[in-house]
Amino acid sequence: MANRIVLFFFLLCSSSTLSLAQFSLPRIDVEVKAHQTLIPGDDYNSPTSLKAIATTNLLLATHVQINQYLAVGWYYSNSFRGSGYNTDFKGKFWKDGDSKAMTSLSGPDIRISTGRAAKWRPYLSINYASAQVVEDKGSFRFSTKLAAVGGSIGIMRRYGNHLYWNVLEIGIKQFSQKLFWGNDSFLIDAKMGFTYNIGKKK
Amino acid sequence: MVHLKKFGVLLLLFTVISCTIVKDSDVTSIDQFNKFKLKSFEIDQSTSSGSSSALATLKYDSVQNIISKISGYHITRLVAYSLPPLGTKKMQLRSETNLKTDLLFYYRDDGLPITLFILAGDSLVESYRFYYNSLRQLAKVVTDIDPIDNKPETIHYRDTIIYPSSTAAAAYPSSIKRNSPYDASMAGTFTFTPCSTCPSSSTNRLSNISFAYPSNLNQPIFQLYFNTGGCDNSSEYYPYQCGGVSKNNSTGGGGSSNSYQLSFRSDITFNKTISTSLTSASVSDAYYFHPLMILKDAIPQGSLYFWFYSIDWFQTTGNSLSNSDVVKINFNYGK
Repeated sequence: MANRIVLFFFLLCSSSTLSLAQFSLPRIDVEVKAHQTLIPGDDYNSPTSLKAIATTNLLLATHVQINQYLAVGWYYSNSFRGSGYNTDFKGKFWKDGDSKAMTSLSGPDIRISTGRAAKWRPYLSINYASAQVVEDKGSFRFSTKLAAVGGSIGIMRRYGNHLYWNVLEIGIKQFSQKLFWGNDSFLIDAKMGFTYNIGKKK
Repeated sequence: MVHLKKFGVLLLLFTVISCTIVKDSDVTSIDQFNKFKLKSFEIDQSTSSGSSSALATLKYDSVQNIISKISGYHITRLVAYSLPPLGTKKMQLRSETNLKTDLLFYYRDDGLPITLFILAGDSLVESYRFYYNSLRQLAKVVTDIDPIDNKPETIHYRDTIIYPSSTAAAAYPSSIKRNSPYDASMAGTFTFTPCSTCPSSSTNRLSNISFAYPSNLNQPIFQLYFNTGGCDNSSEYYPYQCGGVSKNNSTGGGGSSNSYQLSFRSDITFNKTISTSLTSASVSDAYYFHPLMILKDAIPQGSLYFWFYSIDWFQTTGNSLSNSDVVKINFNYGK
């Protein structure tokens, strides 16, 4: 399924880019962001001990700008640190948990600019993800592959024609099913980073 | 077209690096996890006098076909672990054997553990026997501690567990009668008082356990109380998953100086304990190894008996939770 989506997206981007190339150079941007994810687990009254999974990821993305307001692209996010919380969590993102955890998210992304101000530009993003979640318990690992659909809202600050600072982007994704060792099926995330516009004005 | 090529390269790069983080060896379903067995366990001791770790590894897990001459049970499985010396920091064997030992767990044909032998070389230093009633409830525990070096047997406990009803599986026993021929001060009756005024989240829990000598059952020597033990939430899915035990002496004047506190916390997932942490109130406390630390998932109502034997076994002497000495047992599972 994921491969078919990749192929479909590739053809979509290629065709739209090729058709646009008849008239003008496509404008492309690349993004590098820190991506904090949180998957809430279950409460205490559950056969599983998972209270939460929190991971910090590096997110890379690229978009083709269809016009001034619409851009389509692809993103990939993978963990460089993460914890599973089995006894309690209470929002302690940076406290070491009871286990190690990883998430990987990858998929197409549509970005809609909702303002064209000189400096501050809010935007919306709608995305699909092929998601993987792993909790490493030491002697064994729980893992699952899921699909996820979600959106986010963010604001970026413009620095010249090429560089943008993504001040904050917060979002939520709904998984296609619950983690079998947890009992919740959504992911909350926050992103911060930079976008570099390879083309002309954004 | 330069940009088009760049975009294509980027897209290709993203597709390539979108590699999986899921491994073939991962557990991807509950059924898969249920088939896992305990492969080893690690006893980590973090104390004010230093830290240590002892990894007990599986020696063998063999199929047996023996009729026990003592209990008459049909033994079908024998699992042996090799345990390094535990040292003298915190966790010790009750026999105070500080040598490499072998732990031999015998199981009967319905999967219940019936015997643990602890051997130092060819010497049997500790023996724990578990007997069950027709409802598969723990009915008797016989403990023998017999140190090596030609020392006499120091402990022989024969705990008879009595349930309030013989026709249906009761939630908890009503009493445990202990026979202790080597130490008369340990012989007596533990009376279990059900929780009658607990909140709904704590139903089916016990209020307290009191211990009295047979000569005067109305004069308890001490009481054991379950408490939150510093846990954030005491209404866990698994009873006695996290909490504390206080031992309040009724004799000797009472008061806080005779109220001893122990706390524990277990990480349990799908009926398998992943880890258990034990904290006593005093740095001078010794944690004596008890088989229920390992077998509490396998014995019916094992969490309750783990709680009961914890304070019975550990002899904690402190009365606050300020001590940070912790013993953590990590359980490692595999196919």
